[in-house]
Amino acid sequence: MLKLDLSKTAGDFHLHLQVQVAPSFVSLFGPSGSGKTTALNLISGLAKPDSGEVFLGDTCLFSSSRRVNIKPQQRRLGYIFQESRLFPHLSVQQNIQFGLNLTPAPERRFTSGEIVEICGLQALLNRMPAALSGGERQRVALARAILAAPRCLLLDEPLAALDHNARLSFLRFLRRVHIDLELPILYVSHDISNVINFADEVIILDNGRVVGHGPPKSLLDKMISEPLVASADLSNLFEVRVDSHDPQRGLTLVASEKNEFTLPAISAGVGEQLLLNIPASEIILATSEPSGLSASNILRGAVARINRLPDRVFVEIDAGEKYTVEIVEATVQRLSLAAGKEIFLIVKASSFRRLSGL
Amino acid sequence: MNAFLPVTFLSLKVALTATLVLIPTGTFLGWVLARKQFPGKTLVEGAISIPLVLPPVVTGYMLLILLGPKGYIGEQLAILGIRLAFTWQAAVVAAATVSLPLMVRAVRLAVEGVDEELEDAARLLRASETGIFFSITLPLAVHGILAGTILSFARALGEFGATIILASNIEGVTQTIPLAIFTYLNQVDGEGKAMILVVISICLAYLSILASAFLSRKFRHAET
Repeated sequence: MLKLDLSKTAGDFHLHLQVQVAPSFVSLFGPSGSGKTTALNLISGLAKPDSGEVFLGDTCLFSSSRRVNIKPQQRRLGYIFQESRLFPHLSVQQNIQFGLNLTPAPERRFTSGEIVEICGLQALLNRMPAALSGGERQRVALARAILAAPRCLLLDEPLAALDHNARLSFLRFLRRVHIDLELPILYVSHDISNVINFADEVIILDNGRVVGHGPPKSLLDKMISEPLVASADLSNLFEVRVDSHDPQRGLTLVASEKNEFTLPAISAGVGEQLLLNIPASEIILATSEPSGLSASNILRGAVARINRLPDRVFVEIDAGEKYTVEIVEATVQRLSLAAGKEIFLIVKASSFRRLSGL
Repeated sequence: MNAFLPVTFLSLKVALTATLVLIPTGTFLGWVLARKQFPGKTLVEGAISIPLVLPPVVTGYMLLILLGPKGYIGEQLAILGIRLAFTWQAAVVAAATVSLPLMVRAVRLAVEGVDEELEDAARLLRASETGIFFSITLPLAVHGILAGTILSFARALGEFGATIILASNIEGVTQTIPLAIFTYLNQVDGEGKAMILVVISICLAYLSILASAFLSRKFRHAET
């Protein structure tokens, strides 16, 4: 369990974090500049809070009243940075051994062979960091942190420099690490869509303050309606059950609570639950029921609310479930959108992103 | 020819000893100036750099005031039975003093070029501050230490002004190549002898440049 109650002022930015989380997969989410990285630095001991306390389980890592400030070296926290920070003069093997060699034998939890296998590094051991791709670097950084036997992993936007495939692959390794090795994770990101399916708890940070905390699903509405996500790409996340496969046409039929969708064929057993994501910008709106379209998913609904951010408009639509669609102000005028108006949602099969089953 | 060997040998001995002293001290000072903040830092920086801009003769004279038989430190050394001025060790002190700023400057720039975030990463992997210095900072700044070493060695080899004041020009004791060239040029028929030492000087300088190029290439290859 991580218990934070800390304050830090830098210039005219004030961070005040008061939160308590279970040893699970926790995502700290907020727009850039909200204090996420500062929070990680204060927890890890790379920066010092002005006042407050940091507890990891029963261990006091920092307490201004008790004058405790454990050095980062002794906090037993694994930190994976956005830019990997591999040591450029050491090979992959030497990088991952770095922390292990400094870890006293009784504290060691894993052998390097085990972790090399879990992180898929067998073929990379003799390479130098400069010869690795972004995804490979992050996996090396992950292995290096794990081998120093941390009690918790801190990740700061580890996917930022990776392309789509590398992201999915890294998340797959991270999930294995979390589940197989029973390592609690604090995952910082400005884009929640990648981890929401396996985050047990989400903390929403805005302008240095906690504005939301709880299981991810309970916070979706908040994330979508609050302007704090203005910088992030909004997503529609919902759970579906696989109904049937149509191998001849290369399609899979799935159903949510209220709607049915046709997706490109996916490998999942009939009856399996999946988490799907449709980016808010990939849904098309129509005021009358369209026909003769190539897109295969059309939902009927009604406008619930129109949220105007400084330069973007999000329309909330109730179509059995709630969907958020991003459009521009001109479209609102042209379609004369208003609360209560009947509307059709058009979703191409290729717009679905599958999140679970990673 | 045999007359030139002791001079060359003494010059190398003085320059190499000065360099060996400078590698640890210059590296340490360069690292301190790059990474540490402390009151009076500007004064320390100034004190290290001043031989770079002062005429070497002035530096030598100041060293003589400090270390000479009647100097503040020299008197203390005399009580311990140590006489520094006018020995080959004095030539080492003179050479090291004028070369120190070159070494410190090169190391400082190189250490400043080492990403402090890598040091933070090492901290979270349990590395002690000393461990970080030797396993991260030093290896990543090695090209600067190398450049500083070669530069200091070359500067020490050519040192004249401070040496002639602090160590004097004693044949076979403190007479290095530059001092010998100066002496020969003051003799009626010394020009030919001076020319031989000039050639030796050029060869030594050229060898150190080649060594520097070779070593820096070797270290650069290690990172890819």
